[in-house]
Amino acid sequence: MLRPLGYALFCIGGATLAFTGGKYALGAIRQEEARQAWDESRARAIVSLARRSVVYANTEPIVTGAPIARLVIPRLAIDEIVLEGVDDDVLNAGPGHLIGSAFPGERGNAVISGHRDRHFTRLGEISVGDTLFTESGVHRAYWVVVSKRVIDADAPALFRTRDATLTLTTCWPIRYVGSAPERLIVTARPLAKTGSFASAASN
Amino acid sequence: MSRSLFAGFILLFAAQALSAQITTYIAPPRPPGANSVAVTAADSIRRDSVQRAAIANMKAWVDSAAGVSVPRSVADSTTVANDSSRTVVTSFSNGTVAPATASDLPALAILGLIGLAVGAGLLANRPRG
Repeated sequence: MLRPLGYALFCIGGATLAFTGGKYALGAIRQEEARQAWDESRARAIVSLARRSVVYANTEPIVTGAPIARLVIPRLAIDEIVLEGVDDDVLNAGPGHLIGSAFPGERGNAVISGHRDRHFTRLGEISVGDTLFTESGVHRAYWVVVSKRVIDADAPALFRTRDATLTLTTCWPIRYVGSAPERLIVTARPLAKTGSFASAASN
Repeated sequence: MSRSLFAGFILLFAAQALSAQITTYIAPPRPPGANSVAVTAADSIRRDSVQRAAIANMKAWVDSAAGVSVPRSVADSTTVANDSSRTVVTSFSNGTVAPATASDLPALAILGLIGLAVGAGLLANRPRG
């Protein structure tokens, strides 16, 4: 009696582990692909800028899952490529940019969300006053964290702003097993120094 | 009239016979009222428009010169994100809840690990005798 039960548990446990491991591995692969695509687009921008030929049409929609920005929080060693959209597949591959929110560095509220068990594992350690920067295209923006709060998952969390604002969200508590009931909301405002692409490209 | 015709013929045939080339360019008289500053500005505008047109056509060439291939599934992120002239693009409604970042994968991984361990334990404890 125990033997069939042992087989069943072994098989189900193995399959579950394989599924979760595969999901994590797939996310890691897609994040790496996104990083390569980001580096390539950055290289194109460098070449275009060097040739003084940056003339872009501003009408093309961005494909869901496309890399749109790079998010770096030096103190927490977070360096992630942000993808467009916040659906399951996108968030498995990297932090997602909420469609309809502003792009980092532009006027308005730019919302970036990530999973607490993958790319934003250390986001809970962030403190008010920490600095971070984002790169989107040829624009680098520096930010300082001005607030950090925890709210219920169903509570209103995101608001429009006239000025440039960066909002990072993830689930809370970070170490919660299961579907986390709360959200960590980190708000940052731009620092005075805004980078040019030349300085960004040299790093 | 006849003098100028004669001079023209001489110039034409003599130049051919001597294999000479006429390289002197005589600029046409400047139209009255043309301001040099205005001409320069108009010229630069024309050059700028020509350059922009050429650049628009050269984008693919620039990309190819960089040796970069654009993945089909990936949009050109620089086309939208780098344009600082865009106005406010925030279009989500005020008070939107935070995106659903809750993930069951950690719980599934722990459950799978427990199942695997218990199953292995049951299989290892074979009844003796």
